[in-house]
Amino acid sequence: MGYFFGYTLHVWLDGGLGDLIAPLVCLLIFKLTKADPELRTRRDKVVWALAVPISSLVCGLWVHTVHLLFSIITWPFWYVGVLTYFIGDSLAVFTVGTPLLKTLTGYVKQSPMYIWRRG
Amino acid sequence: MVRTFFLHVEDSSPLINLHPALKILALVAVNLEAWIIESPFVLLTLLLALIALFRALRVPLSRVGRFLAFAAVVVQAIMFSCILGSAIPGRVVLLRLPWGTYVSDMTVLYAAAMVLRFMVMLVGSTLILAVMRDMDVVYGLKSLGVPFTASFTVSLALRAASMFLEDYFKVRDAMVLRGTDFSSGSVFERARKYARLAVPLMVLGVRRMLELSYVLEVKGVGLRRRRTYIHQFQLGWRGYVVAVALVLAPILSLVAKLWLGVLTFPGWPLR
Repeated sequence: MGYFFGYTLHVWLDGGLGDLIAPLVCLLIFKLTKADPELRTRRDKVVWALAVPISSLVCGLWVHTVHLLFSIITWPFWYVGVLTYFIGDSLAVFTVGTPLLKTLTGYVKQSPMYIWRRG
Repeated sequence: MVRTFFLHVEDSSPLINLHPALKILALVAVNLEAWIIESPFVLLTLLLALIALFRALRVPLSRVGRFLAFAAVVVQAIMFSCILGSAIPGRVVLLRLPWGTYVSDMTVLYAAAMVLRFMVMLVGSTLILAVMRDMDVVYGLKSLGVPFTASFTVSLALRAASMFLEDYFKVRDAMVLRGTDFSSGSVFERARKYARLAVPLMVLGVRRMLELSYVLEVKGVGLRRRRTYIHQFQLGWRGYVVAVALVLAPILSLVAKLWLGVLTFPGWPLR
């Protein structure tokens, strides 16, 4: 029984694209600020602390707009949904994502998949 | 019996041997149709027709039952937001709420229509995905003009999700056997336990990615390499007719809704 069985357009737009958008926003912020995902310096930690709420907000806006377009929720609940998603998702990413970045960045950098920049 | 992506289906099912491109077009069309239509009567008819198709096409209907919990969550979200946060004019106002919204007879009907819309998407998608094989995704997308590498990536992504879930259960069971209790502690303590679970899971994921990239390289999969195909699917004139119908159906429904006013809420015979 696969995860994608019963996968509707709504779920794809919501879960599929929404969950892709959030890390891409974080990646973009890290690239623009040239921060290190291993979070070694204070600057990296500040960038991470800002990137998580921004990406959660972007993802929350996307997810609840999709819900609204598919009439799963109504306008008043769009605001409630975005706010609760922003808080809940940020907390979850801080709790789960921070140890993951600290422990796994080194591992990924040592794997043959990682492309080191020349010079 | 034929092994599809997610289950075993009778090989006598007409849907199994359908051209892969038609399966993908049908999947998109059924979801778009449900998205466009607002009329509860039309949505109910569509839902009953899809349920009847499960029987007629010999696809096990019991599989839909697995989504009942998920459907219940969405249904309560629709009901909750429609009843507490909408102002749909109707003949009778049943309840006025202090924050300015109200519940009319049409509110309940609108909520029911949206539940039907969701159910049509769920049942329709399940019907098509139940007969989708690995090669259907690749050949179907390729027939629709998507490059082979992109088609193959979509197929791998669908397969990888199942593998990721298997890995998750393995790591979780191993941690439980070593004494981790995921059901005790505060929300943050539980989240921290899941974060510890995610580390080996991600390491496994990276290893799988590496293995997969080596295998793909060995098998000669590349962006610009020309490929030969073992299977040949012929669409035929009937297939072309079905393909055109599947493309035209959502477009015509949208035109009918926007310019002719049919398929809108509440629609015939309730208007």
